[in-house]
Amino acid sequence: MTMNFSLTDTQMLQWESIVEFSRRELNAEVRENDQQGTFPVANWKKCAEMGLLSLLTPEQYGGLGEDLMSTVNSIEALSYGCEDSGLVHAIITQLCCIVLVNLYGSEEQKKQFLGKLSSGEIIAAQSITEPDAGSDVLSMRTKVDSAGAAYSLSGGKVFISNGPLAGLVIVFAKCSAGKSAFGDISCFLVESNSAGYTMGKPLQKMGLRTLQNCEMFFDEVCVPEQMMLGKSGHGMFIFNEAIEWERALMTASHLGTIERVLEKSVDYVKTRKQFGKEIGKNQAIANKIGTMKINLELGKLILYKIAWLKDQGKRATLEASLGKLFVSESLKSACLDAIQIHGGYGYMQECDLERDLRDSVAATIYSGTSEMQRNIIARMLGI
Amino acid sequence: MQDDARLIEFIKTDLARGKVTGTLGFSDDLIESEILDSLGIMKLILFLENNYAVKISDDDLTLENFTSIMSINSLIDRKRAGERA
Repeated sequence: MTMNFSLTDTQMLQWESIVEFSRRELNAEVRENDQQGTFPVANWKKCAEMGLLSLLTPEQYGGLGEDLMSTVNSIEALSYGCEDSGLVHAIITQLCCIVLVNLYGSEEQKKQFLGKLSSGEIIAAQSITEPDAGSDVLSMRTKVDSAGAAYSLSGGKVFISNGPLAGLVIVFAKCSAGKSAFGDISCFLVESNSAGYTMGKPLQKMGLRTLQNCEMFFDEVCVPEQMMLGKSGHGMFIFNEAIEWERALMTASHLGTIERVLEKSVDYVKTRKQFGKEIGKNQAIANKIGTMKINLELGKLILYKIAWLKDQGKRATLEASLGKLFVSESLKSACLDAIQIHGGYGYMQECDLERDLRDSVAATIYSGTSEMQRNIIARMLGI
Repeated sequence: MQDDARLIEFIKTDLARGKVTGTLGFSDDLIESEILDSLGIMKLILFLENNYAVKISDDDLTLENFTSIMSINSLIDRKRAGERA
């Protein structure tokens, strides 16, 4: 089957309109919100009205029913135009939750939640990571016991994105002790008003400060039978599917940021003069710019391959790891180089690049660290 | 299934990674022996889909279908028969 990466006229228009929207509506108070760790609720609503939360929701549930190729194009545009990476991260988390409900939810669950998630009325979170279970998901201790026609959920989670704002939490929990290939993990939809569910204060972070993260605690939370997402014991497969979508969407957002940082750097080196010439004429500077461009273009190729595979209904475990690793590392390097290129100005908060750099550091940690991605790639190659 | 040797070779070299030193029996428990872990089972599914022209669906994702080479063979045979029907 032929891969065709050319964007349709509709996708190009979508790109332009999202960039224009983001620059006009989303960049006004990013620095202040970052400093205060404030989630921009008004901007969240604007993004919902723009349709950015409903990209992957089927039309029958009030969404746009886009494929992944169109969606990554939209997320790239958003991240290119919007300087608030925390907000973009929150939107991607919401999209991932929508994907899970759509792929694995019952008809009742879809009717109950997809509309409200797509309109932004309910904010959602995926509750997976635990103090002793990061990438080693099967070591999770949050457990679920059967209690008649319901389940009882007990345990704790950490670092949960969107957690403090979430009205709906997708919780992964173990059905029994011990490890197996399937982990005996199940997945549940937990509403934030459930008795026994509490959360910690929003966590203070190095970057992505507008994104809200917290600890979650489940003390014998009663979850009705009909709130199980997917089949009993299928949590590991749901997780594996979720992580492929998440890595694709995060990669798209990182590429959008790289493109913005690259453009800013190119503009700067063309106007900043030292010793009578533009600093971009110095090879040491030009090489940094060249590397950013190479990484941007190569990153797009792997991202579009991931999107193409997923849109064909194929698995993209290896490709999602390749893309996530390469692009997140490229993002961090691009931000660091952009600051170096901008010199003293780049180090100042008013240049905004220091925020991009702080935001970028987490990209090589969440959704599986770079070290884990290399392990996965090696395993997929049979090593 | 006609391609047992290929499946066994894949399990021994790509999944077991040194955990099988002798012969891998048709009924040996791949899960109890920790040959299959969370990533390994995704690799196995990818291998089966790419090499046996079958689509492993959510309904197929049961422990019973992946416990041993025999059960995997049986799953592939059922999938192929179902897709021919």
